[in-house]
Amino acid sequence: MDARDTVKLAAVQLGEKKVRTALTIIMVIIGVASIVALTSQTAGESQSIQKSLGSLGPTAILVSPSGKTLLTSADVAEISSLPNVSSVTPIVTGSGTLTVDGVNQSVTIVGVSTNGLSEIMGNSTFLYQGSLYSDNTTPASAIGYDVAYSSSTEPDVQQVGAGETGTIQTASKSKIAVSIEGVLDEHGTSLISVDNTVFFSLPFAEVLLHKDSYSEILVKATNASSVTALTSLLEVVYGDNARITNTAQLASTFSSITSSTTTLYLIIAGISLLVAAIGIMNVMLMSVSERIHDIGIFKSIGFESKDVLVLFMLQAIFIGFIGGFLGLGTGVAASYAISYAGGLHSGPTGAVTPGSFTGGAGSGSFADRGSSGFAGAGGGGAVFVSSTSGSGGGFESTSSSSPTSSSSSSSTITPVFTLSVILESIAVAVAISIIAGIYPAWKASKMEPIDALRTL
Amino acid sequence: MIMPHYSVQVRDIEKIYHSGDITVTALESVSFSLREGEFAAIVGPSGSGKSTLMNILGTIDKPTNGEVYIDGVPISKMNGNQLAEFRNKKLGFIFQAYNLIAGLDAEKNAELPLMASPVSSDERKERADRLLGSLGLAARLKLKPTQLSGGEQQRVAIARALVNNPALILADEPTGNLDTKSGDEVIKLLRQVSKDRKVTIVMVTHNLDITKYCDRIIHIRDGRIEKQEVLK
Ligand SMILES: Nc1ncnc2c1ncn2[C@@H]1O[C@H](COP(=O)(O)OP(=O)(O)OP(=O)(O)O)[C@@H](O)[C@H]1O
Ligand SMILES: [Mg+2]
Repeated sequence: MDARDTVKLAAVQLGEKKVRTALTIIMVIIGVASIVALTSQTAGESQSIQKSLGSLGPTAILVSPSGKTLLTSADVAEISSLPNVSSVTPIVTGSGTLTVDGVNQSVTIVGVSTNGLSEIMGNSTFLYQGSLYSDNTTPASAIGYDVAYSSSTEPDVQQVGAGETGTIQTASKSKIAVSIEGVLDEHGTSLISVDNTVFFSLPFAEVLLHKDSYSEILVKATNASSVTALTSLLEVVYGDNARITNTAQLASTFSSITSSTTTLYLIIAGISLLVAAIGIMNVMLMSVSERIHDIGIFKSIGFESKDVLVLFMLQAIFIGFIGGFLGLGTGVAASYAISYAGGLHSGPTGAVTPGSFTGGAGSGSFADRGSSGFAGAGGGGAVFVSSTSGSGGGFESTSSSSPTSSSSSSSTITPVFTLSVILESIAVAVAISIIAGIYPAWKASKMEPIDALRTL
Repeated sequence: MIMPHYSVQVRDIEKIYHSGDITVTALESVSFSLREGEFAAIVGPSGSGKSTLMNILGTIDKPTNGEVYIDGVPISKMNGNQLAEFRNKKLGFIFQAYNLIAGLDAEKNAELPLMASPVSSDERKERADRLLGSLGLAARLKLKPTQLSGGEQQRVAIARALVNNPALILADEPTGNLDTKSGDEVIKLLRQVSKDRKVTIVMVTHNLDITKYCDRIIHIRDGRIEKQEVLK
C-alpha cells in the first residue's frame, strides 16, 4: 500500500471520530506543553543564574562571617595582603522601606563603595540614569532598576528617578531623608540583589543599619586559575570563623538545585504524558474494536497484515504528532505566560522576589545538602548575603518585608527554548503514541478476515 | 489431474467445526468445477453450508480436508500474505450487507482493492470512475455509502469487486437486502459481467427466481451437493 493512501485512510478513520480524536490530542498537548513550559522555565532560570554568576566573574570569592565572628577593616587589610588578590570589597546589607512621593516599597539596602559597586556589577559602566553617590557619609543613594520601575500595574512607567528625594526607614532607625543620585542598569536575577536594592556609601550604610562590622567581603582573585588556591588559603586563615564561597562552587550548587527542580518538573510532565499514552491506547483499542468489520473488509480484498498494522499505527502517530506540535506551541505560550505573570517561583502574592530561588517562606524545601547555606535578606534579596544564624545548609528566608508592600515587578525568568527541547518534546509525543499504538494495531493486524467479517 | 481451463476446481472438501464437544460437519465431500466465465448459483436451505463454501472459495477460510484450485493454483499451499495478494489479484467479493467502508466515498470504495496493489492513483481513479459510470453511478462518485440507496451501494460493491479484473467473483446473497427490482438489476449486471469479461461468478441465493440467469445451479443440503443443474 502506498504511503499517501495509508495516510489518507488513517486520516479518514480519525476524522470519523472527531471529538474523541480531539480529546486524545488534548491529552498529548497537556503532556508536551508541560514538558516544554517547565523545562524552558528551568533552563531560563539556570541561564539567568549562570549569567549573574558570570557578571560577578569567575574570580569572585565571598567571605561571610560565621558564628560570632565580626569582619572588620582589619580583615580587609589582611585579605588584601594575601597573594593573588586583585580587589577586596567590604559590604554591609540590610533591609528597609523606601518612601518616595508617599509610595512605600520594601528594598534591600546595600552599603558598598563605588569601586565595590562596579565589582558587583561586573562592569565599569552600569548607570542607567544620573550619577553615583560619593564615598562619604552623605545620605545619597543609587537605586536598582526595579526600585525605579516599581509599579506592577504600569511596569513601563518610571516611578522614581534620579534627582528625587525620599526617606528610608530601617528596623532600628527612624525615617532618614535620602537623595537619589542615580538609577542602575537592569541587572536581572542576581546573587546580590541589585534591581531591588538601594545602594549607599559604605560609611552611610554602616550608620543607617547600625553596623560596626561587614556583612560580607567580596574578594576577587587576580585570575581564574588562582581562585582555588586563594579559596583554600582563605579557608586556612579563617577556619570555622567564616564561610568561603567562590563562583564555581555557587554555580555548581545552583545547577544542582535547578537540576533537582528540573527532575521534579519532568516527573510531573512524565505523569501527564503517561496519562496521554493511556488515553491514546484506550482510543486506539476502541477504534480497533469498532473497526473489526472494516478490518475484515480490508483483509478480504487483499490488504496484508502489515498494511492494517501501519494503518492503525499511523492513527496513533497522527495523534502524537499533532498533539506534539500543538503541545509545543501551547508550552511556549504557557512558558511566556508564566514569566509574564511573575514566574513559577513567585510567592503567594504573585510578586517575584528578586534573587530568591524558591520564593517566600518554606523555601528550605529545596535545600541543597552540599551548600553552605544562603539566606535571603531583605525582600528575598541578596542570596549572596549570609546571615549568621548558624543553621548552615539550606535556604532561609529572613525577609522582613511584608508581601503587600513588596513592589518588585520584574526579575522574571526569560524562558529558554533549546532546539533539543523542541525536538525532544515532539519525539517524546510521537514515541508515546507509537508505544501506545503498537498493541491495538498489532491486535488489529492479527485478526483473521473471516472472524473480523463475522463481527458486526 | 487439473484441467487448466477450469477456473475453479473444488476437490472433495470437507469442513468440520469443533465447538467444545460438539462437532458440526458444515461441508462433506464437496467437489465441482467451473469453467472460466461461468455464472454459478449455490442454493440450499439455511445452515446447509453455502457461506462456509463461499468463504473457502474466497480463501478466507480453510477446508478441513480437500483442495481448492483457483485458476489452477492450489490455495492450501499459500501463507497469509500470499493469500492476501492472491485475493487482491484474482478475487472479488460481493456481500449481502454491501460491506463498504463508511468513511470513504463511492469512488474511493471502488478504488480500495487497488490501493493494496501497485497501481498508480490516476489509473486507479480512472478505472473506478469508468466502472461506476458503467454501473450508472457517474453522478454518485463523491457520495458516502450512507447517502446511497441499497441498490446503489451494492453496485458500488460490484465496482469494487471488478476493479482489479478478478478471475473469480464470490457473491454471498448479493440481492438479500434488495427489493426485487434492484435485485434483478444486480443479477443482470453480474450476468453481463461474466459474459463480457469472462469472469467466473459464484453466487449464493435463496431466490430461485433469479437462478434463471445462471449457467449452473448447485444445490446444497446438509453440507453435501445434492444435485447440479446446468442450464442452457
Ligand atoms: N464458526 C463456526 N463455528 C461452528 N459452526 C459453524 C461456524 N460457521 C458455520 N457453522 C455451522 O456450519 C453450518 C453451515 O453454516 P453456513 O453459514 O455455511 O450456512 P449457510 O448455508 O450460509 O446458511 P444461511 O443460508 O442461513 O446463510 C451451520 O450449521 C453453522 O452453524
Ligand atoms: Mg450464509
